[in-house]
Amino acid sequence: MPISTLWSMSSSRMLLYFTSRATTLSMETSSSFQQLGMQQTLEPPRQQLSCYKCSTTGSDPGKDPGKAAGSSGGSGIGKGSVPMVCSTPCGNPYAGLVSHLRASWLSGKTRPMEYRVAQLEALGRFLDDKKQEILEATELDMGKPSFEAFFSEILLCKNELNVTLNNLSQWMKDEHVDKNLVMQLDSAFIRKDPYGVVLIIAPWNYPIQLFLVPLIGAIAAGNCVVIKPSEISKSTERLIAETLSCYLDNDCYAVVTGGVPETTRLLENKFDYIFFTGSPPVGRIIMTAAAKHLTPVTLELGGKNPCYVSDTCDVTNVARRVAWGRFFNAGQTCIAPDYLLCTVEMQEKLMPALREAITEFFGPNPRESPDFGRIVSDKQFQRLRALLGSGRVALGGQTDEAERYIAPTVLADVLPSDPAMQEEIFGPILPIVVIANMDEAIDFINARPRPLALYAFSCDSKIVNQVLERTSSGGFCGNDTLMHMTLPSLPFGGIGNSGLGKYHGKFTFDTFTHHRGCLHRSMGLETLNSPRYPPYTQQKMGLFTSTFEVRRRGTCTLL
Amino acid sequence: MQNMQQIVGQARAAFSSGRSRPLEFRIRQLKALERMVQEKEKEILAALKADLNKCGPNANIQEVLGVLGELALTMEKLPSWAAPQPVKKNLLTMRDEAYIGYEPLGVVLVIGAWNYPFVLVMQPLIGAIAAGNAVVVKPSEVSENTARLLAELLPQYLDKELYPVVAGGVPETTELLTQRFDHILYTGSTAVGKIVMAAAAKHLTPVTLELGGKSPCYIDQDCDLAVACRRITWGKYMNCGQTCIAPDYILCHPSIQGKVVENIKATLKEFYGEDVKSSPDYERIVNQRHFKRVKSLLEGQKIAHGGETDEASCFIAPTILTDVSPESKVMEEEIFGPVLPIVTVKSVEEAIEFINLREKPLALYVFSNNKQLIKRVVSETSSGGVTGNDVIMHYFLSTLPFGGVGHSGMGAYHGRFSFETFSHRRACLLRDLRWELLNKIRYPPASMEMMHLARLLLVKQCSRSRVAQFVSALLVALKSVVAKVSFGSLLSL
Repeated sequence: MPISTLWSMSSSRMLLYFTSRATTLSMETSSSFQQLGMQQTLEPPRQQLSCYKCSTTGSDPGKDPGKAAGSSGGSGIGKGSVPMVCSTPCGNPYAGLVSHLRASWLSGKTRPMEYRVAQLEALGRFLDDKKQEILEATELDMGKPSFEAFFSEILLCKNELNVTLNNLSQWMKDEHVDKNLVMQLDSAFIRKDPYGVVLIIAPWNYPIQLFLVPLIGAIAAGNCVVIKPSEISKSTERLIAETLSCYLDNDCYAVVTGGVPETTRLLENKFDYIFFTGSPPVGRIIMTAAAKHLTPVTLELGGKNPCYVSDTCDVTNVARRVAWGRFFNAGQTCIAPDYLLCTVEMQEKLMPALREAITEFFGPNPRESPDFGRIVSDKQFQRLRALLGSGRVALGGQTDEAERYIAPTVLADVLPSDPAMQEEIFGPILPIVVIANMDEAIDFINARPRPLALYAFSCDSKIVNQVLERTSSGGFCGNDTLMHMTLPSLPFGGIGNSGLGKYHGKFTFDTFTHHRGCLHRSMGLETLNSPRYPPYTQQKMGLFTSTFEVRRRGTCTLL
Repeated sequence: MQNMQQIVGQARAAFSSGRSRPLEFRIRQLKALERMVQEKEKEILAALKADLNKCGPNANIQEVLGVLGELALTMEKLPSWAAPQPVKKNLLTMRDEAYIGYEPLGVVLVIGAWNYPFVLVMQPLIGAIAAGNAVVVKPSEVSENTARLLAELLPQYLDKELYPVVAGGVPETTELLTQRFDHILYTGSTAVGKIVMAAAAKHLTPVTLELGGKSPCYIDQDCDLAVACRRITWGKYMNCGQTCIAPDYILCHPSIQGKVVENIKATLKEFYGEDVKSSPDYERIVNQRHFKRVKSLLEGQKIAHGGETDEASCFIAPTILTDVSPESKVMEEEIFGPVLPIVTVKSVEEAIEFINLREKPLALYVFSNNKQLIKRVVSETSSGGVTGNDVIMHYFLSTLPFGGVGHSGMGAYHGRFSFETFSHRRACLLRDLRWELLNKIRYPPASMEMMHLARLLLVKQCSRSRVAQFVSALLVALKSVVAKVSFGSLLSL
């Protein structure tokens, strides 16, 4: 996704943005968010740990701040609450918060499964209790239709949550592995260790799902978490900042709000893992900052996802599935099909089918449809409007700046050199690039950075398989769009410019888990070990070889 | 300086040709690698002798055997590792094909280290070839003989364009790192690890960093000290202490410190005889710079054993330091030499606290007859890997992932984990273009009925026992579609 946060804004614009935001905020002094937002930028963030008064009666363990940090047994480190090291003098406003979470982590309280389950269940309650608020906030932010919001922000999160709760005990178990001959009496296993304090930076396009799904895995893996929602989706940011603390243990999970300056300061702190969703330029900044502390990262970025439509296919169904994927969330989806590749004949056939699909979905005037979203910000709107000059507008093309409305638009005969083909579109605009045949389509795809998703449509499964085999992409979906991300059993993530690392389901748990190789040997049978000790002899060598060597199947005589 | 852009460009072109993808090709290359190790064993051992004074059996056990084992394992298992892995589906995708495909990443850079100059290049190389990548190999220039030999041998046995070897030191590596790679595996120090990752960030290249750190070794009072000390002595003084997972320092109760020293002394005699310097089984420090660094760590310390040095041959005798203060210099950096400090702690709690106050180590060792105590130390600390009641041995088990955490690195390799490190797991869903009826529920215009149906179809994981549920879902789908159609026709009237 391009410019998912404010990073790429020029600094003067940024300042303007913040001043204007501050003014709007100061007008709503009654809101508790106000206090939170201001505290974070001005004062050391220790105070934000206090739970906001709210109607829910969560029975989360260890909710009172400070007290719980050293309460459970454990390493003996971090007894009691840790003093704020380096709060103001050396400048970092988040140092106190991070060290507080680190003390909680070292106390060992996030390690027991019961604790993790309780926190995850609290997240489930958050989704249930705040369903209406979530639908309203996303509607306010980008006019998200309630079906889409329900499907993508709530349903998919509930899915992940249930998969995690159903399997957590299994995932957490030590994984016993095969041993060689000398180690037959020992126990060898992979321990699933939490990393420590992790940072999740979420974007604005699916403001709930894209912070909640990683959060579920981070909690499940036993980490403490700092969550940084996007400041662009303001209403959702406010909702998260205000209400999440009522459900989760505030000694272990904190929400930090703010824009570029705040995130920059936050990144100066040492985290044990950083999970970022956003644009490639910001991804580079995040990874460079992470390198200073040798922090591993998952980067979920975007890219232009190609969609190849072969000459042999059911045009009506193709049009429906493509239009659904492209215009879902008004095109602001990182795995949306970004452009179509097809022959001139196919373009001719697709056009009426796409028109029909759009009318069927959104009625004759999509602007009045409750099922079609809006663009998130004026900046994004202006960027998108400039892309409409590419090729020729075959369908749609209407815009309304006041509402940030852009009609579902199809651009025909777009050239690879046109503006619409230079950046990720991230809006309800579908360019069609004409190619001569499948080979040319594959060359076209391979000549560009590797996309997050790739789509191919054909009645002939051989063609779909060819496109799959001869290209590289984060994920692949044949004969449909977006659907591969709804399966928690499939890893979701990019490759090359579209990101690194993967998540969803068990992959999220694994992402936030250090797989620690453990070998527990027996103290006896020292004679078995003697071959490895000096002084070395040829005889010892032979013995060592026979006990250690992995042989090809069929040549093994000993076992 | 070689032209890095050209070398990487050539490797990328070779990768794009697709010839490294077929399994048969990969196995052929691995077989060639195996042939190389077998045919050129003498040359390899000679290079290791010249670089680190590693004697034949030593070098064989430490470097050659491991590589042969990894090759055999990889060739046997590769077909099953590389096979697409079908995954669970939900009701909506029940008729489709959903699997994880293992695909090569592209052009991979492997940067080796000098302490095990052969195995630390070969083992990642095996995984990268197995996963179908092109690999640029950069051996360490410090172990120059092995580096030269690898540059000479690899092109003789492997595809020259796909697997080039780059020679050189810091300037060459810096130049190399400006190129775009699809994965970088670096073995070396924490400081350079940060540089490698920052360089990788420019191209969004994923990295595996195999770094070092001070790996603690806790000895419980309830423990067979003779056996424990023999195992520790083996791991600590192997390769003259220049092992990234060597026990760096010992934590034990003051009451057993004397006995630990006695036992290690006795074992040293058993291993290397009266005169260590003349033992063929004892290595040397790699160069003068490291010799001086390790020697300086001895200053001001209580030397309980050893301490002899010889600058001309870079010899440092196996040394034990007692009552070492946690603040002293020898406890601040990774020792990477034959110097073993003992820090006394009063209890296991104190030992755990001591470990947790420092950066996460690459390995952690605990010796005790009490299983619960070992389990406790493992549970309450973090480290790359662990061996209980022994040292180093978890490294030799290719079924365990090998890698660090925090300052000791990120990512893991060995065996299947190497293959996975160098593979992209591509989520693949192949759907049917028909059955549009089932898909209608997700299309606008939305209705509450559709929403409930979507929940049913997506939330429930597919299983045989839920066929009945599926049928009922179908019925609901039919009903709602019928409702939609009739509603639509009403509207059009």
